[in-house]
Amino acid sequence: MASGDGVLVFVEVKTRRSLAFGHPFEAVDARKRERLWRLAHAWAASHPEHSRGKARRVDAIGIVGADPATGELEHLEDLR
Amino acid sequence: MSTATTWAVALTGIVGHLVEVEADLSQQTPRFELIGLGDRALGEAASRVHNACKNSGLDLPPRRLTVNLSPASLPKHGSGFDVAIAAAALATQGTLDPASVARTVHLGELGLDGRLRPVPGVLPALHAAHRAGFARAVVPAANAEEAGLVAGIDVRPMASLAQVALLHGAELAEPVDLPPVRDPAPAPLREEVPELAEVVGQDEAVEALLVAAVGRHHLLLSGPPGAGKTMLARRLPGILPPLDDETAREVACIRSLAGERVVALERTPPFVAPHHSASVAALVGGGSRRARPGAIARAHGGVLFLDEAAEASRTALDSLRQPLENGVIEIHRAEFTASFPARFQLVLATNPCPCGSYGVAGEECLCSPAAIRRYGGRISGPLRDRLDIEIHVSRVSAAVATGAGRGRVSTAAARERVAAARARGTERWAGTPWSTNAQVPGTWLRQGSHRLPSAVSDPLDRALHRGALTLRGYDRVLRLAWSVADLDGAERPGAEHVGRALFLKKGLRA
Repeated sequence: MASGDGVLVFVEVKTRRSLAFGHPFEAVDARKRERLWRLAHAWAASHPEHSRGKARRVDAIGIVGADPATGELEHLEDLR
Repeated sequence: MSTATTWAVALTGIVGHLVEVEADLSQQTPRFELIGLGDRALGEAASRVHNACKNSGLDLPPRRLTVNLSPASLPKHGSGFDVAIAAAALATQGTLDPASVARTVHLGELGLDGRLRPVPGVLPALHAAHRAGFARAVVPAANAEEAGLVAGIDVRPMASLAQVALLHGAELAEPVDLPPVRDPAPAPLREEVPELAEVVGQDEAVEALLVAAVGRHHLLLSGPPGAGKTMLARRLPGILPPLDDETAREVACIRSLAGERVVALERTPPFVAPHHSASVAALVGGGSRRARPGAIARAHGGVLFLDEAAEASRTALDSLRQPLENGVIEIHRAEFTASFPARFQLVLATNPCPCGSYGVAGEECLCSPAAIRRYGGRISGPLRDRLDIEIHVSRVSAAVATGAGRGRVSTAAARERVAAARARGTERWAGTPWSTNAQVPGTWLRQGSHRLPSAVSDPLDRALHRGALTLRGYDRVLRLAWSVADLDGAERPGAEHVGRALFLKKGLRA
């Protein structure tokens, strides 16, 4: 979770060692996106001091590689 | 670059509509969305495209791809859009050159391994693409022969999606070399047109056949079983003049849509003989989502032969009336309207009565008079009215049949005579909307410069006065008379031509 510029960003980070079982983003399906949004709203509701007046956004970061520190990183902004 | 477009063709009847395939790549989680009023086969294109790309070494980006088929309101069916969808999708990221993709029409279905599978209707689709001004088209390798029939467009038969990608400037890690998919449909058999000289002892009927061929008159053959009605009808396509370019193309388009394999422009007029139990849908054509040409459309440019016409269902027969009038068969469904050209020559054959012996010398007919009348009435009045020639074919006597003599007229000679006669007619009707005698309206023949002198038309006028002919029948005899005169090489019909025409229509002696 990150915050800045008047936006509260909820980031889902997915890692895959290789593409053998599909791209990490493929695991962020409609069900998962819905859950992320529900989570974001619930969190914002229970933490009004952090969320008041801020827009909410859900992002996803996919990392492909054996070692998360050196893997290839992709970032998708504003999932809906 | 996040959007790319290419082109494909949707067919309604034999008319092709260019469809713009747009693909948009948005920064969202992976999904493949296909919109634009496609049917179920088209909806499944997403999976085929996905796997075909992967197995061709061309990975689709793991983002949301939206593919729209525009115009979005035109219903589209079938799997022929696969290649276009794949090309547009791959061009969104620049894997394929978007400019090159946008200039090309793509036709074909994709296999999961990335091979291009043949689709029906390539010929009409390419024709539409050419008319819309496209210079290049990609077709499946199995449709190469058919695609080669369209001139003026650069056709690229392709075996696999990888080859298509190379055409559009893709860089492939490893060239995928797949054997091309063969067309599963068998090669069309070249049917030999039977020889007219095999018909013996039916000189009168053969002459009537020639007159029918000259003016494209519809024909009713009646006679007992075994008289040779079918034999005569089968020989009609052989004596008709070969199809012109436009008609040959339409015939090939209809065959292609019917799923037949088209390898050449066939010039021999088609001969279609549906069984007398054929349903209306079989004759007219049908399909709930896509229109399949029926027997009427497949006989376009040629001969539609209905044997045992009196046994056919009345609704099926009456479905012939509209195409006989307009030369077009229209298929209306809730979701679409398709029309096929249907300028065919109708040949009906029927027995004189249910048992087939009525009026045959030496045989006893067991049918009641009412049954005979009912049987004749199966061919409805309006339909009978459109038949210009009604002739009776009688059985051939043993002496003629077993004699050494062959029929007097060979197919080649007959074709020559018909072609010469047809040329005279075409020359006469040049500058009018009509090309054959059967199409010319009656007023044109009764009035104006083509009016016959009263001495010539006298037997006709008398028949009209007597009530033996209706005015419509009068016009038909006039048209026939012109055909008879054309066949004779006469400038205008004389009294003997009118007399023969009257005999052909009504069996009346002048």
